[in-house]
Amino acid sequence: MILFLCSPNDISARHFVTGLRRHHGLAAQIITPQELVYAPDMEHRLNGTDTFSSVTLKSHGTLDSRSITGVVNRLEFLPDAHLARVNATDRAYSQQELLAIWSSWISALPCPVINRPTAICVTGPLFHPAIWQHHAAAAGLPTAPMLYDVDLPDPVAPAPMHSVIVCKDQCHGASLPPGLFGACCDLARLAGLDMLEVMFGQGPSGAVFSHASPIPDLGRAQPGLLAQVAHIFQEGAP
Amino acid sequence: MIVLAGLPDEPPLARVATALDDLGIAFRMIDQRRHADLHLTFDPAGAQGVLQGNLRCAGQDDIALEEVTGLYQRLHSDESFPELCKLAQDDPARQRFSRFVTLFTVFSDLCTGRVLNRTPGMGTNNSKPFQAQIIARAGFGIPRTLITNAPERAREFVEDATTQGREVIFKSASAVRSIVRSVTADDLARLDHLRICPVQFQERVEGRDVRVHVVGSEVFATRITTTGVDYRYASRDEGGSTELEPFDLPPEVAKRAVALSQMLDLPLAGIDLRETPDGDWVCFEVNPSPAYSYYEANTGQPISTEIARYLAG
Repeated sequence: MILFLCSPNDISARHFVTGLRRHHGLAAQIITPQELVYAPDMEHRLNGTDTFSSVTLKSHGTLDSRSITGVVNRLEFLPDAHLARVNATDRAYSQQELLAIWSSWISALPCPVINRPTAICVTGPLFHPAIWQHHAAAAGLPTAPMLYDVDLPDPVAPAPMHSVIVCKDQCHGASLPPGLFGACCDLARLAGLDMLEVMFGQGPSGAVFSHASPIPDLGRAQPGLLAQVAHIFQEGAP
Repeated sequence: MIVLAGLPDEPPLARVATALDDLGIAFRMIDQRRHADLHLTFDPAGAQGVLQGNLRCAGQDDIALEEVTGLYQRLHSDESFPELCKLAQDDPARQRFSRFVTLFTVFSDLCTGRVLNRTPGMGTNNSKPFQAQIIARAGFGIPRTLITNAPERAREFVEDATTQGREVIFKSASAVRSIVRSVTADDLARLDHLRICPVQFQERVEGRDVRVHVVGSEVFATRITTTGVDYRYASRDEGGSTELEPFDLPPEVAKRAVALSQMLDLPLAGIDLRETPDGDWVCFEVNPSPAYSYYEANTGQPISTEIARYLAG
């Protein structure tokens, strides 16, 4: 089974999953962070280089390292409503524990995982806007001047007007000069993300980098992205 | 230009400052206690992909960020400063402090010089099981581990270990409250609490503790003899004690320790190892911001000098 880990409100992921099922015959399912965190039974085992992850969900029964064949990770947060009555210190501790545990649980899956978590962010690599700006420039994308100063508000990025979605060295999008596609792929590589939406605003002489998101708006996805994701999971590409 | 940042009298930072002085290497100390006098500004895109900007401390020359070739940082949060703790969270002075730390961290991540250590490497310790997967790939043993929210699975794990004559400990999976405790009968009676949040259980590994500090490609190993489950807290127990002495690590293990620090992107790393009676080497975790001064003070191993040399390139 292919899991789309995402918010219950992630409409674009729902449409994408429907497309994978209808057009590519893939057994893909939405799994929400609530289903993971409130699962009645989860385990994560480490023994040398062997790992095993399993979770029993009320909705889908038991899923484990053997039955999960692919993951698209679009988790933004882990819910903590069940900790509402816990004191603030213990609640903060439990939140850190949940993050540490589920990040490792997802990372340990042997199947292809698009955007594996890091130890500090369940979404994957997480960057300050200034670091995105730096990486964008290093990748060769045009950038607007941005000055960060401890005594001034953060600079405002150009309003996004166009975007492309990068998925594993392929760039999908019609609204940007194809000459920038290579730099967008380089940005995703620098960021360590398999899937990335790169947004551009309008500068004095053309498009300039605005910001980037590891949780692309899949509502903007073209059929080519759907086919590429299907191919990744059908081939079991790493 | 070499920059040290944090509290100048904190031993790890103070010892590197002394070592740099002894080696005759110039450096600048950014004293976090003077946070109100510190000013930082930069353009992250800079010129040709190199961040450009300035770090200013009132009354001193500006530091051009693009000229920083070595950086050792041990920045503290606002909770370490009593004058800030008295203020509301949204007080401008407190917010400015946090903003400085955030922007300084951005600078350290983008600095082209040698940095001890950058955020991505530092973060791996936020999830011990995540880090353990990397440790295992580096060739070290790791303790057999179960993380679960199911009481029956935890009980089975403990019983299985007990049958084989092994004790089970539990410890946090995150970097918070990382004190190791043995599972007791009382703990087994309250396993229902696992439903709220999964817990990490591990088989206790018998053997001799060795703390390894990696600085670049240099390795300093310290053998630890302790009476406690966790040597860091042994002296809290009545009659508890811990002794430290320099130790010659087998060359192959030393090479593995350097490889692990490189895999974790931690040029400065504190690696907790245990040599089992069978001669295997098990790694518990890697500390990305090691208080090496404790080991240096007890053994005389020249770790601070090596850090100074590393920073100087």
